[in-house]
Amino acid sequence: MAGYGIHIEGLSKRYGSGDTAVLALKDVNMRVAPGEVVGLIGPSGSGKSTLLKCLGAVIDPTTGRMTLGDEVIFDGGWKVRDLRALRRDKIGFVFQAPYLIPFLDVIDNVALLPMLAGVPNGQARERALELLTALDVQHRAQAMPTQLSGGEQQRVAIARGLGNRPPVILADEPTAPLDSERALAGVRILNEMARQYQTAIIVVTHDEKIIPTFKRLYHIRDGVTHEEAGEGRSF
Amino acid sequence: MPGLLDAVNAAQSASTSVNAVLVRLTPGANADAVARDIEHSLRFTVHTRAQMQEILVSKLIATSAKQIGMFLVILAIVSAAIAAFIIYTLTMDKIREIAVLKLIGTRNRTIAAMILQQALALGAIGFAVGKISATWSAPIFPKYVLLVPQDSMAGFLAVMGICALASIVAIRVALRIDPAEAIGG
Repeated sequence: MAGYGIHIEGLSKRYGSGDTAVLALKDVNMRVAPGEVVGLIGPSGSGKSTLLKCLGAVIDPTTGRMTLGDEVIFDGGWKVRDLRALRRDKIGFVFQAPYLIPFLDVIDNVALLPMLAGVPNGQARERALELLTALDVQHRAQAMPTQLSGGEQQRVAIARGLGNRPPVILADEPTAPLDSERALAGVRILNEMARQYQTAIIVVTHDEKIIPTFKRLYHIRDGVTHEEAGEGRSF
Repeated sequence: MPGLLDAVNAAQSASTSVNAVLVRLTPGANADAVARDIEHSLRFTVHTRAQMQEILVSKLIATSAKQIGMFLVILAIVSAAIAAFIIYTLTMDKIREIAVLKLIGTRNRTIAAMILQQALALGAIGFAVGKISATWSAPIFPKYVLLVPQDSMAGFLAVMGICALASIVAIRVALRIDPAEAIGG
């Protein structure tokens, strides 16, 4: 896969050892191209969260290989020394709830990530404003998170996820708290951001409202992924 | 000391609250000699001006200072416990946000600094409210402790120190939060 994107081959994750060992992921294979949004669906306990934690570099996979763009980040073991910096610079996160920092205003919430990566404050705030403009919430830049509506908070959370222009974004049930209209608007925004910033986005979801919008889906069941074409319904 | 005994008896019969008589000496009189004379002839306990000063400063005021100091220590311990509880509760309320911060790559020292800043801000607000209240309400009370600017400054530094100490528990909790908690359920 050329350029940035994510490629996972034969990923597994075992918890515990001996008789009590649990194989949460058995054989996970995924490819997401830059600018593409794919859905990851599966029943509770199928391994979605475990997979997301492996992709997010917060737990160690047991075996397999993960590539971000041209960089192999895991091949039987982590190939990058600083996983915190990997998460900060190469992986964006969007969660079910926005989890914005309550004592920072909107622009600082978005600028926080570039600032943590060492981008000078002025540049980080410029970048934050650019992302807020792309997400049409620039007029709320000086507001505190509690002053925003649910939809606005989620847009700010997406802007934060894009703060360091990561090649991949992991979205964990990002539309769960939203009604149908806002959920579809959320997916449209993710698709626009993926195209605009050439980011590969993996959306973990149970949400029946948005599942038909994906062109490609990965089903995960008992720790094994199966790829299938989605409906790609317009929204 | 002619007339002194009569004056004492008269004062005690006129009022039950009199328990000391002030003797004013003529210029040039020997205070020690007069004191000895009164003690021997009238069997009263006599204190000279110097001895009274010693009693007031070294005993009464020193005892009060010790009591106030003890109150301050107890208050400092209680306020540290309250501040620690408040900061701990505020931190526990933000476990998910802290997990998110860690997940997106925030350093532990940045998170610790945020909690410390919050604790110091709480302390500064508390000190300002306390100082303003004390300044405004002091004249209402019959007695109050005079706080000179140096005392206020020392108090402010003590409050900051207490709040910094109080934030340690919350910081330890925050640093133990697993970033994986931000993902899933």
